[in-house]
Amino acid sequence: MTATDTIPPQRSLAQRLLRLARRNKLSTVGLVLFGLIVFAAVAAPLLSSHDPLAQNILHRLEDRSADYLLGTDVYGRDTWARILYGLRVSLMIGLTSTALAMIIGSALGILAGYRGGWVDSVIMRIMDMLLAFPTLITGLFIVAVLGANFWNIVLAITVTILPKFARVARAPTIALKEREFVEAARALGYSDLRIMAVHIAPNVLGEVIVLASLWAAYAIRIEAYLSFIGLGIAPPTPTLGTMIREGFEHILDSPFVSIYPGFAVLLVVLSLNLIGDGLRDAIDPKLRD
Amino acid sequence: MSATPLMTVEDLSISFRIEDRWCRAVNGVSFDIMPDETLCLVGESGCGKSITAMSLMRLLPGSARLGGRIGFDGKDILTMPEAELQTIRGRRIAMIFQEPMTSLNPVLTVGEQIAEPLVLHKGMGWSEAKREARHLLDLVRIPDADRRLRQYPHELSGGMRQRVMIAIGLACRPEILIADEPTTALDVTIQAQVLALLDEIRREQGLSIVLITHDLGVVANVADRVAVMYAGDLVETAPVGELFDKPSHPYTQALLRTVPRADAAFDLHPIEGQVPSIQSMPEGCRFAPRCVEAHAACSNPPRLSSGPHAVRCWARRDVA
Repeated sequence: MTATDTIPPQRSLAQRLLRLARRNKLSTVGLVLFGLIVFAAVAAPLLSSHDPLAQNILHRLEDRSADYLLGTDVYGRDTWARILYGLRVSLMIGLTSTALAMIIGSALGILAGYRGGWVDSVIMRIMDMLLAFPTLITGLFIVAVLGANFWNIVLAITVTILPKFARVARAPTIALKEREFVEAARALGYSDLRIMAVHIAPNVLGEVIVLASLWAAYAIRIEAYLSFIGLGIAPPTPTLGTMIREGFEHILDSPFVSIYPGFAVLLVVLSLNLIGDGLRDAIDPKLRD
Repeated sequence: MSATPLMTVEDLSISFRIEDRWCRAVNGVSFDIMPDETLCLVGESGCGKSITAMSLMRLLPGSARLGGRIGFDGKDILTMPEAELQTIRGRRIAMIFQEPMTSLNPVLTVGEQIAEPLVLHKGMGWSEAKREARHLLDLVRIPDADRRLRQYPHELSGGMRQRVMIAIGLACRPEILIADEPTTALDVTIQAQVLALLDEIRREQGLSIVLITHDLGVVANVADRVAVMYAGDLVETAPVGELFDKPSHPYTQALLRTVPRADAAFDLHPIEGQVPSIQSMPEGCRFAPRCVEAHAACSNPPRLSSGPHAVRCWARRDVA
């Protein structure tokens, strides 16, 4: 058996990525779009000549022009520049809180699933309590109590979406801990912590990452909600949500001040959702070749 | 064999709680594991051989109640703190399982899985451990080791995976290797290869193997000593040659008659009846209801006789 076993040729990473891209065109679109958005946010100073905070009362609520690519808002600030800088803040908040929720939530879920018993009950009942509130209310409550600054908003969003990660990590952990390789790991003298971190976590990672890409989109939307109702980052720092809110006051005469940042939110959420769908297909073994 | 045993199992009993009642799955089993020998635990499904093997490293779920003593290195495995157990598991006693398909972690490479116990127990660095893993793959006769180390378990055949499991088990050079039906999931030809490999490695490395099996053919090939279990009792233990030549317990005799033979007429001799359920064990000798030689004394539980060939049967007080 051994000598004649054929070993399938190893494809290079580039080849595999290309194959994946061909098989899943939509998520490739999402990936490229998200890449462009991140690039735009990072390269904001290069892509706009205006200061996002500079007010110019003579040019308030102007239409698109060569100078103001997407027009100006009620204080005469360049909408294009504000969207680029706003993307930075929105992405930072969205991605940081998703990453935190993913790490803490999965750790809690794996712990609950692996230990079972009262540990499981306590962790999951707390998660259920958090889930019992409508998502926005939890975030609202935290920001309203602690005040609106970057880390409080991150905390609010993290707490809001963390239970979803705990649930998604817990279910496969319960199935995995009955598998023989976990038994084998115990027979090798590995501690519970090592088994959870080294042997179970990577097995759960696939599902968690799919969820992360979908919930990152949601996190960015929550940031926009919170900002829209005035509980976001304090002005004048632009975020996509605050921009929509500020423009909303003049929605009837100059709708585009709100519509452009709204469109930006749409693009971010769309790109992340496309990536998430593609990842889910790639990870589902039934769809794998 | 006058050497001191590596491990002494004394009066081991294992009970599980079933519907508010403690049921004894293993009923006061005693045996020794000698250095440099292969001990086979034989018996039909459900006789308690697997959980006996698991209890040697105290791997049973917390719901199991254990009694007796398992002496290893002057200490009792059954009362040892968990932290100390973790320094014995994998390092001094290792175990390989029945299902090579599911005993390896699907998302870690073969190399990582062989190297991990070395890093953990021997304090090696990863690069050193990977080099050692390469040697281990050579030891279990896996060709093209460098490439195999980078592969994932799903890229390997069943026989190959069981070899990898053996390599992981042997990584820290344990004194005892427990193999729980390591070949049942494999093709017959691969079975023979894996068993031959285990036997060869045992000779080379001088370790003891506890092999759990229901296959008497396997026993005849690799065992030095055999312990036959029935319904949680150890019914007979003997050196392998003697067991096959002079099986004493009626159950062992019946078990040997069930093996189909090429030279005899096409006659199979199944043992009549069923293994009693764990919830309704007969009083006295547990084999009595199926035993052709049962008589009045069998309603009291017989004791295991002493000596190298020990039998637990009222009709066989004279052997040994």
